[in-house]
This record gives sequence, structure tokens and C-alpha cells, in this order.
Amino acid sequence: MSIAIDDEDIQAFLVESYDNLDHIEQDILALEKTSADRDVLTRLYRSLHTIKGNCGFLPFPKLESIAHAGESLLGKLRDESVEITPEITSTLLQATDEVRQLLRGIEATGKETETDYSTLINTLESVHNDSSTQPSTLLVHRELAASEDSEAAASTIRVNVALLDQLMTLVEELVLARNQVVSFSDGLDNSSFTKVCQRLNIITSDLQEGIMKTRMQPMGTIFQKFPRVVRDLAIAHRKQVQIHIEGAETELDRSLIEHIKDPLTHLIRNCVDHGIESADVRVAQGKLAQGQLSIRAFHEQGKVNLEISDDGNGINPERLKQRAQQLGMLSSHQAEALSDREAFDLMFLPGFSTAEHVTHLSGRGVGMDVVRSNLELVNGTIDVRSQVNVGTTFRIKIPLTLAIVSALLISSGNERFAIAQTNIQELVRLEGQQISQIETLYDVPVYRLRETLLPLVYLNSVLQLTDEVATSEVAYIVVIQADEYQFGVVVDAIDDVQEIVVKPLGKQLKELAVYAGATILGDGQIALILDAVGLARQSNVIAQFQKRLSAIAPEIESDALNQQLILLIEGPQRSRMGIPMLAAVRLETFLSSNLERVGNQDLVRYRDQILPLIDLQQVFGGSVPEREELSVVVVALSASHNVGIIVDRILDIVEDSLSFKGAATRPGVSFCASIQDQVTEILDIDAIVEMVNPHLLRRVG
Amino acid sequence: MAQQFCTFYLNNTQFGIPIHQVQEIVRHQNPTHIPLAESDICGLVNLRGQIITVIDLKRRLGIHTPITERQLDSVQNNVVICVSDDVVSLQIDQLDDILELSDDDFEPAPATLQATLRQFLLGAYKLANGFLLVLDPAKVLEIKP
Repeated sequence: MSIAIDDEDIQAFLVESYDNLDHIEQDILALEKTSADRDVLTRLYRSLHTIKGNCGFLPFPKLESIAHAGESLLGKLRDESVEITPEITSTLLQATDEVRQLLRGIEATGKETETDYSTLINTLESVHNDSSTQPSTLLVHRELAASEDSEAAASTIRVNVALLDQLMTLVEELVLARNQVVSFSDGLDNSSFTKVCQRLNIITSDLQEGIMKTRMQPMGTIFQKFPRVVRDLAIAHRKQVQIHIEGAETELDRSLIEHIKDPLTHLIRNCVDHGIESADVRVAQGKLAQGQLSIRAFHEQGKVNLEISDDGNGINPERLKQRAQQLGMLSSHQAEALSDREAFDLMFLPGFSTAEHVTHLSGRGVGMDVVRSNLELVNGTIDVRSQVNVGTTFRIKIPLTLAIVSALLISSGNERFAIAQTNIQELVRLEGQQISQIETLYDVPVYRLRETLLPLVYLNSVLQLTDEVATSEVAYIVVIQADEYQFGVVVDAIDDVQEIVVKPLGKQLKELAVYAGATILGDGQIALILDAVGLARQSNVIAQFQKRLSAIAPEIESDALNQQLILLIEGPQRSRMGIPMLAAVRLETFLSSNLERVGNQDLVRYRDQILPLIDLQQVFGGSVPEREELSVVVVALSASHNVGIIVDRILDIVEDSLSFKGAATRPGVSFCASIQDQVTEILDIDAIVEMVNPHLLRRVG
Repeated sequence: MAQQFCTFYLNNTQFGIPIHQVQEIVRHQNPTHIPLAESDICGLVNLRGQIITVIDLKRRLGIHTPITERQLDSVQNNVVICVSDDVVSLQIDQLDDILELSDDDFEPAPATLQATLRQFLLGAYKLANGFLLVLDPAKVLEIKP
């Protein structure tokens, strides 16, 4: 090696080789499907040959010998003297893995690693030696030379990302300068200058759009890795999986692509590992033996949508609930109240895993929560839809780019700030009298926003902008969601909503967690971007408020509890009576002809049980009138026993806090309350049953 | 061997920065105030689309005197330095010149200087009419723990 080799040569070699490896991997997988396709084989051979050839110029003998062994095997396949078997494709894939690892080593240290690759080379060659005839690689070589020329004119070039970023910044600056020139020309009234400005205007816009596009990359760059992942997993789990990829051309900002790669891989592993059943189970269920895994990417509403779905066993929400209870994340009471959708969300909780068997690839209890938090880092969302035995679909939504966000511009103490719209829940404007509604609860200012107490942060004081207390007539509250907490930021004015370009702050300002970055506004001025979580921490509002709130929580809770639904009925002597809806199960109408009588008790067959009936007329001493139809309120005495209360008429259902109370006037009544400005007797069902037929209660007890 | 330095004045003392670490000299523009930032940080400016931090060099070096506050009006230029991808604009009193100085004239920073200032210096050059204190940009931009 007399020629000096510098880092740049090695860098170029690495970039090219990684690329070649990606192609090789895809081609090997394609080979497995189509068997000996000559074109694919030729392409494979060429890619490997390039790596080998490059190694010749660089001091990487190990790499060269692996590439050489692989090349010989391919030559054999190309000759059709060796048949393609799954073993051979596995060996080839293994070889690509080893080469990749070698390249990583070279990338890190600049030298080949010490690993011994003779076993691999032997394996590659032994497949080769099995055959009886000698390989005739010469022929392939000649064909190669011809086809290489035809593809030489590539239509793409490699550009350093840093250069693109720099161009992007310059274009943004050009846009600002353009804006200034255009506004300047408006005042000049010079027609030829105006013309030039218009051209500048159009060219700048086109240039900006073009530069934006250069940052985009097709999703295919990460999708192409998945067939291999799925194949290896399927083999490891002895499952059959077919992968369908759609929308690989969908474009996304390259910084985002990197962020979603790991979450996507994790989801796909999950689908193969937990979702898709083994072939015999599938056949028994009448499904195709091959599990279908599909990945779809598409643009919708200015966002990139990704769908990963399998037709496997699906997710049973009940199992998720059970698991959450086992792990002590939920009480049985809470679990019961969860909807299926909420149950699916459980799987994103940290430390949650339903896998009974932990495999080396998934099911270690870390995962879905990381998937979600990774996606949230890039303002993405994920949700799950699943049907037992039909399949599961994960749907991910991510913004096209992170560099540009929609933000709200606010001002406080004569300075302007931006807050990302994604953090903002709503805006509240307080005027005059309303400002005095801001209360102070244990040193923390709070505002009653509908039913919740919203802790407030005064931007002026958090950022130490002014010492004076704001005495303006109008106050604005920006309601912000940070982590799981909600708080309001009080600002002087709300200016505008703008698409802003987020720029990082220098190292000197790293410790200021209050800011997420800065941006240059249309007029060239700089505005700092507030970080919701940082702001909450800085003001300490949440920690304080949480601590205080826990002390007063019971008070608020009981207030909310008192609001309850009351079923209003007309009882004996046209009196108004109420039954708490919590007790009432259903309202039914029975024909009196269906009534049966056992002893002194009226009964009716209702669903799969016998429902004892109690007539309120009888309870409160009225005469039981002849009725054709009976209005019955079915009331639960326990989980499995109900009693039917016969009423004269059902009037209404109202919500009331039952705050105006009076003592009961007769037995069977809990208390009197004023509902809709009329005195209403609230019935005590247990007491009524006790009065009429105590045996009913005893049977239940 | 000789090296080039970009020189300027702080409190009437001449300072220099190795020229290969100076990215450019810019006209002073009013920086955007950053609430809660350290007192030696003046704010942010827009340098051709890049947002960079402006540091009050005298405060950073601990040689800030209230009397010199008035000189702020006369600030006309800032020195933009770049140390391992961290670009920062330094606010100075008065820009001077580019000097080429021979290594023979180089000496360690005078022991008589205050320790706080000395830690930011690479050394000093003897000049015909005094000393040039050479700043170590990496030290100047080092973030205090």
C-alpha cells in the first residue's frame, strides 16, 4: 500500500458499501421469493463485486475474502450448478450481517476488527464445494462489464446534510430579505424596480420550496429493512409471515425518519411475535397459513400516516385489564370502568407487557411505552385498533417536518414569545370583573375553568420581566398541557398564529430549560420559543399545586359527588317522589295480565328472573287502583337481585346536588329535597322493601 | 513562526484572539433580551438566518466595571468566534486591528493579573507600547458548571 489513504476515502467507501449492502440484502430476499432470477443474481453479483473491488484499494483483507467467498457462491448460483435453498439465502444474509459489522468496526476504529471470519468463509465455500462442476465466473464477469456501463449515468448525487441545512438557513434569510425589498419597493413607485421585485418574489418562493424538498426522504429508506427483520423473526418463531409494503415513496423530513425507525421496528416485531399465530393455529381458524403483515404510509391532513396491521390473534381488552390489575396498575373498580379503547391505551404504560413468554426480541416489559414516548418526541401520536382473532392495527401520525411548527405568538412585558400550538389546549380571555375571579389557593393563583381548578403562572413574574403587578383591564390565559398536567399561563397579549422555523439555542443557553429554541419572525426580529414543560418546572407551579390540592381534594370531590341524577316519579296522592338513578336499573312497562301472585307478593317474570313487585300506593297507604299497564322502576337490591317499584307515572330525570334538604315526613322516605322548586320526597328503597316484605331483603343478604 | 491575531480593547486594555478562531466581525445590532439568562449574556442576534448568542466579554472575564457602562453607546462591532461548532458573538469596547506577531515575543500571562482573568488567557505578547493579552476562545466559551 504505497498510496496514502485518507479518512475521506474510507468515508466514501463506507457510505457506498452500506448502500450496496442494503441492495444486496433486498436482492437476497427477492431471490428467496423468485428463485433463480438471472437479473437479480447479476445485480447481487455486481454489488458484492463492487465491495470486493473497493477492498482491493484499501487495507481490508478480511472484508475482501468474505466478499470473494460470497461472490463465488453467487457465481455458482448464477451457473445454476447449485440450487437456491433457504439455507443458502440464510448463509448469504449472515454474510451480509458480518460484512456490516466489519464496516461498523472500520467506521469506529479505521481498522478491521480482530474477529475470525474463517468459519463464515468456509460455510460460503462449502456450499460451493458441494457441486460437481467448477464455477465459470468468467462469463459473468464479461456480462457484468456490459451492464455496468448502462447504469453508470446515475441521476442522483450524494450531498452532505450539513450543507443542505446551511442552504435551508440561507434561503430562510433570503425570504426575509425579499420581504424587506418588496415592502421597500411599494414605497418607491418605480415600475421597473417593482417588476424586478416580483421576479425576485417568485424565484425566492420556488427556491424555498425546492430546498424544503431536498430535506425530504422517502419512507422506503427505512421500510427496506423490514422484510429482513420479518423474515428472521418469522424463522425464529417458526411462523409464516408475508409482508406487504405500501407507500414507500411517501416523503418525510429526514430528521424524523431517524426518529421513527426504532418505534416502527418495535411494532413490527410485536406483530410477528405476539400478533401472528403459528401456521397450524391459523389454519385451524380458517385463516391463510401465512400471516399477513402490512405496512402502509400515506399523507393525510398535512401529516404522515403509518399503519402497521396484522391479521393475527388481535388484542383482547379484557386481558389487558386483567394484566394491569395483576401488575397493580389498576383497581378492579377502575378496570371495570375502562372502555375498550382506554384498555388498549394500557399497553403504552411503562412496565406493561402481556407476553407470557419473554423472547430475546420482544416482551421484556419495556417497549410500547418507549414507542409512544419516542413518537411523542417528534409530536407524533399512536393509537391501536384491534379485534380478537381478526387482527391489530397500529396507526401512527407524525408531522411532515419538525423544523417548522405552528406557534402562537404572545407578548408579555413588551417582549414577544412563541408557544408551540401542540402544547396549547385553549385560550381564555378575562375582562374587567372576570379578572377578580382569579383566586389564590394556598399561595397558588388559580382560575376556575369550568369544573376544574387551573393553576396559573404569570409569565411576567416567572421570567422576571417586570416588577410591577399587571393592572391591565384584560388578561389572557393560555391553557397549556405539559406532561399530564394542565396549567394556565397569564400573558399580556395574544398576537398571532404563525408557522415558525425552530432554531436551536447555542450551548451557552443550554441550561435554560424554559426555552425550546428561538425563531426569526417575519420582520427579522427574534422571538424565543417557550417550552411548556420547562416553564412548568421553572414556575414550580405544578409541584406546589399538586401538593396543596391533595389536601383539599376530598372537599371538591364530595361537592361533585352530590350532583346526582334523580328519577322523578308521581306517587300516591299525586305526590312528587324521587329515586336516585344510581339505584335504578331500568324502567319497564308490564301488562297487569302478566302479573302472578305467590302468597301476598306480586311477581312478574322478567328476563331470566322472577321480579317481586312493590306498589307505592300500597306502601304509602293509598288504595291500589286498577291498572292495565304498570310503570315499573327496576331497582337493584344487590348484584343479582332486583325489585320492581310500581309507580303511577314517570315524570323526569334531573341532576341536582340535593342541597336543600328537609327531614323525612314518613317512613320509607330518606329525606325531602327541593327539586325544580318543588318539595320532593326522596325514597329509601331498602326501607320500603323492609316495610312491605322484609323477607326479600333477607333472601338477598 | 508568526501568528495573526484579531485585537480589540476592553477597559483600555488590548486583547487578542487567534484569527483562525474568529469567524467574522459584525456590526453591532441590538440583541433580543433573554429572560433568566446569566448576566454576562446580552441576548440573541440574527446572523444571516442563524441565531447566535451575544456575550458581554467584559462580564464574562470578570473585568466589568460599572463606570465603563457608558461606553456601551460606542459599541460598533462584535467579534464572532467559532469554537467546535459553537458560534458566539462577543461584545467588545473597541475593535483595533489584525496583528501578526512572532512567537519569540510570546510569554505566559503576567502573574500580576487577577486569577479570574488569567484563567481565560493563553498568554501575552510584548508589543512596542505594552502588552497584548491573548484570550483562549475555548476557555471563554466554557460553560460554568
